[in-house]
Amino acid sequence: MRNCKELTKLASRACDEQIGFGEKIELKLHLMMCKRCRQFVQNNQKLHKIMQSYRQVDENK
Amino acid sequence: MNDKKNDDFVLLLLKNHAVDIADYHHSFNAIYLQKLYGQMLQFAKLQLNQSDLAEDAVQESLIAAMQYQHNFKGNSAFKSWVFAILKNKIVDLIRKQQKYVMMSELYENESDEFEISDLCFAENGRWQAEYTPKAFDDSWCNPELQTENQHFWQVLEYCLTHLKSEQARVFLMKEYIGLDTQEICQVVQVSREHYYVLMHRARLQLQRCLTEHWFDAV
Repeated sequence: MRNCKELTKLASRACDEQIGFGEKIELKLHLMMCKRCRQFVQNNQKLHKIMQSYRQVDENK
Repeated sequence: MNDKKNDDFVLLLLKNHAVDIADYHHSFNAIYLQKLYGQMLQFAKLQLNQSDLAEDAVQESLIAAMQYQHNFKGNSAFKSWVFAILKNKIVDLIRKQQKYVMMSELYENESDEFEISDLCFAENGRWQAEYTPKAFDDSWCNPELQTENQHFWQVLEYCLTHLKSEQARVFLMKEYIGLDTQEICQVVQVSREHYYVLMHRARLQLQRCLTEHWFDAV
């Protein structure tokens, strides 16, 4: 099983592309038990939204 | 500085990218690029101490950056992007010359000693309490607080420019330009594995920086 450092790396990769079925299950299981990693994942989703808005703000300048 | 020569370069650059030079409403008009060129050259000269080398680095970076020019309708992210490329080039040049004189504070974040993924986690791979991310609330996108939001974009730009240049490059390519993994690895010439590492670190670093300067700022 991955520790938090390795798990966040997998979670980061999951933002960029499809991860394997086994990896998905491991990610979900870990996130169910680990609040800090869950926070990291939720923030990444926000960060993605932030970057999209940032792009739009730029375009409307 | 030979202003005439620099201006000629900018005009040629615009012409090659089919940007209408007379269109001053276009974000990439000559005035904007000439100003940017000046800032880049100043930065490069400080780092390299050799004008001709600095000029080459700036021109090569601008040419590389202009390939994705159409993806940057506004100016501010283009600037982060082009400076990320420039910093990369400068680091390469300095390594080649075996000169490790880092003169600007902008360089501090390029050092290998300070690696975010080692700071965030203990040796056993668990989160360090003080580096644990705080929840990002919606304070950055309050529709009623325009000025407040403006301030947030400044914080974001600050955090983006304080990423290591290689991280900033791949992160902007992914999250701003919207390229896929394969394309990014080709352009930046890194392996997939290294790309994952760079993105992981960029995300950790940005979360840390945004937490510190916005979401958890007193």
